[in-house]
Amino acid sequence: MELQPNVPAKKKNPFLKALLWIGIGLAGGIALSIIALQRDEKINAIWFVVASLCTYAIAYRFYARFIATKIFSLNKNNATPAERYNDGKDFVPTNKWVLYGHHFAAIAGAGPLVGPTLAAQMGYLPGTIWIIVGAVLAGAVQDFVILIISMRRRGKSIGQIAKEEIGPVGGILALVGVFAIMIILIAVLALVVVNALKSSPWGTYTIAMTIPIALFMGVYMRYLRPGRVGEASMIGFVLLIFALISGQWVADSPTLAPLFTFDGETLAWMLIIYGFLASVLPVWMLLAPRDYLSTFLKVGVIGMMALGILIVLPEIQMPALTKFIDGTGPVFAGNLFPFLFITIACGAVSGFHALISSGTSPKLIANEKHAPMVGYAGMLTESFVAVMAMVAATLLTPGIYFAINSPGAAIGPDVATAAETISSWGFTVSADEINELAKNVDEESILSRTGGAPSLAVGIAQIFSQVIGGPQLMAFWYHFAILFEAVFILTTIDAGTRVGRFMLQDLLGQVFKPLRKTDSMAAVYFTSALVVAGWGYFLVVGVTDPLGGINTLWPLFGIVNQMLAAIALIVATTVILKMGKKKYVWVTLAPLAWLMIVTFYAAWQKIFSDIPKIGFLKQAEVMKEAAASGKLPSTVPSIEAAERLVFNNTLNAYLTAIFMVLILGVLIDAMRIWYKAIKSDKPLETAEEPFVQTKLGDVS
Amino acid sequence: MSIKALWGRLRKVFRVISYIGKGIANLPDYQAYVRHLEEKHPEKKPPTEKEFFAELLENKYGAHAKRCC
Repeated sequence: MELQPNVPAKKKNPFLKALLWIGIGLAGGIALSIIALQRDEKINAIWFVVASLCTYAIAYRFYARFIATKIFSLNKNNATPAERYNDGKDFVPTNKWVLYGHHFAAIAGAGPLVGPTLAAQMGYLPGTIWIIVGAVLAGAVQDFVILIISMRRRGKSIGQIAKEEIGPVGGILALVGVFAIMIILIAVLALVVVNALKSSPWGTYTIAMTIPIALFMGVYMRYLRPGRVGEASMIGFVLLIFALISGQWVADSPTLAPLFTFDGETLAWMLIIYGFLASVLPVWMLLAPRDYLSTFLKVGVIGMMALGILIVLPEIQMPALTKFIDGTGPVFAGNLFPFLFITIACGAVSGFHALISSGTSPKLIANEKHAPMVGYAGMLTESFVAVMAMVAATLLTPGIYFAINSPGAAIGPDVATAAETISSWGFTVSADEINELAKNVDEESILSRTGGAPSLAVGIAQIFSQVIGGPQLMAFWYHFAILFEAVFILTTIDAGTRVGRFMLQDLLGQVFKPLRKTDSMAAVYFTSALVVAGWGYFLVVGVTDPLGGINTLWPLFGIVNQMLAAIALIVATTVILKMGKKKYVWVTLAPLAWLMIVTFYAAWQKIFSDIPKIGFLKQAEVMKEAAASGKLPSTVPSIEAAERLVFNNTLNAYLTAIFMVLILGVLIDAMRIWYKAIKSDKPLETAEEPFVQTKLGDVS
Repeated sequence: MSIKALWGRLRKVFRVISYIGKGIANLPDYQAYVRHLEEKHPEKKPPTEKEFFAELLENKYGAHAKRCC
């Protein structure tokens, strides 16, 4: 199918158009004020939908267009890389709606689902505002600007652009940053999966079944019907649903259930072995089929979620603000400022998107004028996913929310103690309610299932079961949601380990040449093992952490991800200054400043805070004293465990410090160029490709 | 509407769905690639569908692949 030139649009009445935008503005304003000001009565989720969609529409129509025309002068006559370098494969002019779908599927993952769920402990208001405002002013700006910059440079990657526009030092630091974030990202996502599958035979069986299903799809696409991804995905989906249904039989069978019941540590080791195998096996066997299946599943389920919320229109149970804005919450430690802003990374602003915006999308874009739709609106859509995750978390009774999301150290090991503790915080919940929910979703227990996935799954199950199946299907939908999250997290683990392995081969290969060979078994096994050991270490530490690993790992991930966003914005600011657009530099400089303040303040607290729950060094000190005196807190089982905690916390402190130095390095290196650009009267030379007249015709 | 016309329309709908699905999964079209080679590089022998798909996966997940949260 080729791109069709569009029929010229009919002239619209400017007065009606203005009226329409005023209407959208009013609706958004009313919805936002209802969300912000309603205190005594429960509000309906529809206001979240209206507030976010209206804000997105206005930002897209006015702010994205402002950036497109004033800074970059997007030109529909300038040929894009897809046209200049069209090779029928990597560079292909693609329909703008389809490319928008691809870009969204590539940037959206577990991040926008987990972050808002954790942030809900402070109430729905702060998280929702940050998701909407952050996306409009920071996240979408970053994705959009990087997409344009890469599109004007043959679709080059952010690392290469950093090297060309800033210098080799900035380039290498950016590369190391990307590698570090990959390791932490895989570890924390693996931890989310482990916590969701712990003692859950239904979940574990279903996820285990995805491996033979993926293998079958792989053989099908390679040998039986080469390249028929659609067919294979369809068959895979049917098999997946069968695995889900048969999972209940396994869970209810007294002989089969124990075979699929594991504790956290065993699951962690299984994931580590799996990750290693997935990284060394040929891609067609496991990785590619899994990736295709998870892409379609992701887009489908997110669409279902939006429909479900619109049909059910649930009431929000969580208050606008809880007392935990003071930093004493059980789900994650730290004050609203800065910790809320790193807890919700993806969904508001995510550095990882810069990799996609400078990856496949700029090579496929057919016309420069499509960039706002792909880069800016793609991120707005992810932001909307985060809003939906917030709705799914806050439609739960707050007591239930805290029962699922608080670690055992905070609420106690059994249902009775937990119900009592949570009720004493002011969120009334009874032991019976907690037990009944566990029974409804066919799980042994829902207590302290931290990581966000189980909590989101309960929320999704509540919405879906109201549309299809009623309470009887609650357990099915719960495990459907767990499956959906686990499948694409596993895809990230597979692919991330592999990408990490390539990066490491590249980095270490500069020191020792033979490691660079991607066809050498020894080199592949060695570097794969190193990468797996890297994230495996954090995973095992997280699983065995008596305080609940999400508490430690998620903020670390948030900090690194936001720092990567800072790198992307430094690159963007550099390019804008070099283009001679000083007047508009605030577009990227303002979100950059905000991210620098938030991440550095958060990182500083993570290292030096006097509160052991927040500060790594303080926690290490407390554990050191406990080990020396033999007086251990009830959550720490042995002296060895305390000593391990001393080491882990010290290591985390050093790591955080290294990240800070890394970002400062890139910033200082870039400021050198900024100074030159500001002093100069005319634009500096950039690596942008010169104008070439497009021959594709009108594809606006 | 005749059966034939209906069938033709269904096939068209299916082609659009397949185009969208392939686009979202970033899966280049084999036929389009062969056409591209015939037009621009007639001296090159087009790969079989199997070779095309194998090479595509290598490109997609090889040393320059990207991934997100």
